[in-house]
Amino acid sequence: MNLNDKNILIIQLARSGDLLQTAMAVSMAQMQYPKAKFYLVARENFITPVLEILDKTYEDIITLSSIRNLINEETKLLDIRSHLRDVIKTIDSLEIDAVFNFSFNTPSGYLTSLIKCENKFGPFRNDNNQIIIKDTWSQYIYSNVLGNTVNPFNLVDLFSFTLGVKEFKSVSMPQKFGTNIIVHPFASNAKKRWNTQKWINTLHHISSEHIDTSIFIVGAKSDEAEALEIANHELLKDRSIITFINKSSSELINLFKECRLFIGHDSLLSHMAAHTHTPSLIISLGSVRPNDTSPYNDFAYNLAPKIGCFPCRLESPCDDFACHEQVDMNVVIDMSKELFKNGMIDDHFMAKFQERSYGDRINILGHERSENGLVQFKLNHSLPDIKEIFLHFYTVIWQFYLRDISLNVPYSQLEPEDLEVLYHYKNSLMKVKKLYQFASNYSSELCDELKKKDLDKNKLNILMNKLGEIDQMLFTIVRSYPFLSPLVNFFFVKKNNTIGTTPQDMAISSQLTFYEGTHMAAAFLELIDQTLIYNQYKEPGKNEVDV
Amino acid sequence: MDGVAAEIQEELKDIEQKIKDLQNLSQKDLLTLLAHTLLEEEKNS
Repeated sequence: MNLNDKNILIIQLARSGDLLQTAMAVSMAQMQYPKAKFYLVARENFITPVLEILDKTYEDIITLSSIRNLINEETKLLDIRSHLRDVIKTIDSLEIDAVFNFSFNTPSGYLTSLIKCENKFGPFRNDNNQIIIKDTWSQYIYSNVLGNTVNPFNLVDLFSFTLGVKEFKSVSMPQKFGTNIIVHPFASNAKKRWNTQKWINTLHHISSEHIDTSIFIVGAKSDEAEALEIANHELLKDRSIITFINKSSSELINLFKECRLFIGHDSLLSHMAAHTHTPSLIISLGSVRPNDTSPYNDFAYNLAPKIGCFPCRLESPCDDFACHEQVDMNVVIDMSKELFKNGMIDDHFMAKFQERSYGDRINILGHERSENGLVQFKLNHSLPDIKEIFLHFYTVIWQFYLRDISLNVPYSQLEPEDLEVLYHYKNSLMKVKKLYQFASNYSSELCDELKKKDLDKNKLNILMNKLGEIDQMLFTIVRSYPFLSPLVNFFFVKKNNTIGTTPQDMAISSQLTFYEGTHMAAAFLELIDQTLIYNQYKEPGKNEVDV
Repeated sequence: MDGVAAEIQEELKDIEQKIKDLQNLSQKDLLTLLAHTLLEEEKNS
């Protein structure tokens, strides 16, 4: 859909950091559609910290008040519905041509459903309360970003792709001449952040390295007590540690313009650092998925623990925060020193990094803006592990399938044990391909049956049951081979959102989806095969290595 | 708060029944669901 000259509504009900990431994608879309008018609907409390940035991005912002704040002793449900109806009326008065729901949460789905608009992107509900996702990119986000860890795309790019952005410019970062360091030692959840004492010790060392530098501790009002605890600590009493709490986004942006380095966890502030092209060191912990939510910033570096449970799910219980221990404070101290001095991490630093005791516990992830969006890469001098190799594969196959872009990615050398795993994945993927072929054939038979004047309900039921059994078998394979889940989940969601108004149309659409799934699995198999050949892997039962 | 929460729970029962009976949901139903899910999100955030 060409969005130029159109009125476009963006729904983003998530937190301020998500609002910033969305605004970045909208800014890219504005370059492609200069005559389009972008409107935003967002929640009151998440708008406030980034209001100035949002005001510059959108034609207008429609605020969704906090429901809790609307409720007092005399409030009735009728009053809340009335408020929400007024919000919908305001939106409808804008004569919106296309709605993009970028929240993917339950309320945003209902909100999208209530808006009068023919073109809806992202999830919404139909009259029977079923979730509908019509567009392919949102089907991808729904199936691959929420709850999956093998997604090669940054969230900003995913929103941009959904908006139809085609061209991504490689932007070189301006040199930062500031002298200050900004530190944000907080996050929305304890899982995602170091404890206060670890930050005090780290800042003690960093401030010793940069004795003439002011370190600003930034945070929300709720962080104030902890910020003061850090700033006033005995270890930091002679240092220039300044608390900068509950400030507006324009005050923060001005502070970032004067700063040379940002250090913190994945949060709103890390996206604000990206907004101002500030070299950043991001400590990714707990449920943070550095692939998806890393700041859109060429000079951002993520520290990602190598421990198997990282990233976890936010709701999964954790007693020991083992991933926090993986990130040694010395790596933060060393990298801060390097980034403060040079604004980047180079090969020379990485060679030294590998020799340190902490070198094998963390991955350092760098970023580069390319014509296909933000590329994240590992700086460690080590062979890719099995998850990384699947990320490479998915980069190639999704760029081809979803964007029609053919990438030339060199094959990787792998550890022998990872080649074994890859070989087993190959066999399972062959089964997936076969199941898609069967499903495509059953859908074709279903289509033929539906064409007949006298429907054979028994045969229809048999075919429907067979398709259901195939779904079950696919999910059984995925349980043992989780890196196949992005492929299987995507085609499951796509199949359940088939286009068409008649059962026959839907059967044809379903057949095409399985046909595409077969071809995707074949392309995937080719990548695995070529990687095995490149590594001269001798498959069991084969006498000679294919070269 | 309790009064509104009770009203929502009462209406949710009717909505669930409608969904079971494959009846279409009205705008009022969708507004109730929106209010309910927004409140739930606010509790969790």
